[in-house]
Amino acid sequence: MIVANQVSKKYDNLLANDQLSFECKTGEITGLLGANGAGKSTLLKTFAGLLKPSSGSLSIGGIDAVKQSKAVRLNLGLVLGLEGLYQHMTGRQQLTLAANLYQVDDIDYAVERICKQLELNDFIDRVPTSYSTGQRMRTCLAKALVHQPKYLILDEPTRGLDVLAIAHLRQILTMLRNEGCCILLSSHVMQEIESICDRILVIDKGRLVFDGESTVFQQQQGEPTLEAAFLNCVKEAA
Amino acid sequence: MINEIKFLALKEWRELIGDYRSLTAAFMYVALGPALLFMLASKWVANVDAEPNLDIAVIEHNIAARIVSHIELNGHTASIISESQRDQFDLVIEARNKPHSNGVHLYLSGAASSDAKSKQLTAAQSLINQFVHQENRFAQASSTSTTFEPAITLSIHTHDAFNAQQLSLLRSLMIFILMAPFVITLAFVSDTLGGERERGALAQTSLMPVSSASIVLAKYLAGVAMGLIGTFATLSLGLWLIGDLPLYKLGFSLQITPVTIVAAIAWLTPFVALIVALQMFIAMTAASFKESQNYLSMLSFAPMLSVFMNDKVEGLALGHWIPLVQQQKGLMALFSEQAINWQYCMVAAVVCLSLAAAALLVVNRELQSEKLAQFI
Repeated sequence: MIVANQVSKKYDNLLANDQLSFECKTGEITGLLGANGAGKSTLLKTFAGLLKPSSGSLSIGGIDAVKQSKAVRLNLGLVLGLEGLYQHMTGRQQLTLAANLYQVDDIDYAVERICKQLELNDFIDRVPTSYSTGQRMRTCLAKALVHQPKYLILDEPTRGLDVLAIAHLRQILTMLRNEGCCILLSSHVMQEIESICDRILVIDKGRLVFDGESTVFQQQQGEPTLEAAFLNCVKEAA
Repeated sequence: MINEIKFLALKEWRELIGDYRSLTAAFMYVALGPALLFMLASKWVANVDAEPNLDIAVIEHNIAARIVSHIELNGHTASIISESQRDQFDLVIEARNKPHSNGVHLYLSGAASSDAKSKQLTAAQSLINQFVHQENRFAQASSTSTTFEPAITLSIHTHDAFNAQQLSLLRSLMIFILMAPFVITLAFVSDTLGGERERGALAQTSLMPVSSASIVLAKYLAGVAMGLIGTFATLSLGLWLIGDLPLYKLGFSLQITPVTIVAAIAWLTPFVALIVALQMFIAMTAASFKESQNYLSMLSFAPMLSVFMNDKVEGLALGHWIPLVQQQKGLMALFSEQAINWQYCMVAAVVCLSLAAAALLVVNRELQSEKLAQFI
């Protein structure tokens, strides 16, 4: 499980996350919803170990994500953006490096498997400067999945992707969920969250305002769609 | 941790070799540096064979104006100086009144440690002899005595310390060798930290199950390896090129053997280790990639400062603790067969490695800081 317990993050005078507590269960996709600046990315970066919480604790698979971040990362896949691919190494070389660092046993097999699974073979032997946005996304995802992690955290994975790429990503995430992976993803595309997530967490101004199924959220807000429910919720909070 | 460093260092090399255009640009110094040194040294050697231009200083005396006038009439330059300015000139004439007579004795002093200097001294001697001869002829013509004693006599004094030309060559050699690690690793270090940070690649690497120390050490080792390879190539090519020149004409004997080159590299290793660490420190603490490049470019001029300030720094109480100064002294001693102070060498190596360790600790701390999160 991915667990946040009373997590707060303060930057100078800005409270980006305010005592967030939730659990993401194994074999589920949990969607993190919020407007720009609501604190989604801050929370995910805190799980990734790039930021330290001002208070509270985070754990992934029962291991403290702050104190034992290296141990946590061995079972965690992270995609926090499309940036960050090395410019002068081919995609395959980057996957091999990732597999080595994740201490994968059979590296060649792991790289071949993920290339086949994510359909990377057409471009993976080129350097990323020639990749399309979709190809970059798939390569980032492949790097995060090459060690078959039990936990996966994605920050706005559909950003910049076309319809086909989004459909492909949806298939992959569904497959991973069915394999028992615990997935936490953020997005502000309501349709995306609605179609793929088992549960949603709604954050507004750093506070968790809803934790549950999207249909319950719609009912609670008295709106027919997730988008309308979200807008209503944010308006109420304002 | 060793495996992490190995894989990450390999990644740095792949990135480095993959970016072959930047690599070519970085290693351009290996060819351009020695070529520039060769051109400078060739010019100095060629000047030895040319007719010397004399610049003679005459120390204040009532005969000084006549000597200056004679020198200038013969197409050379001369100036009257005070006793305290003597050290600033290669060729100096000092006139002293002879005791118990009205005569004057001229002391011409200069270096004869090279063909060029010797040639200048001979030409100056000939010029002043001509003056002495003329003055004595006038004196004799106006004298009524049958036993004429020359009014003016001349003697020559040579001093054979490092002359200005030898010093210039040694200084240029030092600058070109000591600049090599700065210039060759500049682009690599600024890109591997500043560039990767701005592209989000550094944050992505730190998201892997690796320690920040492994990331820093892998980048550091790749940088040091690159610096050493580049410095070795520059040194070998440079010394090979100028080794063929008739440097003996400058009174200079460069000791260029495989042993001295290997010894020079061993001597420079702690220095390269310090340079790469300092570059990493600047690249990581600068606010942006551009800012780091500006500071790193400025840092590359440090060898020039050290070479030209050497005399002043050496006079300081802890002058021998300053890394660049010691590296320069050690190299000069190595190539000119002078005695090497091994105690100072050890002190310099320890100072270099200690400063490098301190710089790397700061880089590591910066890598662990939350600043990295803003680039992803």
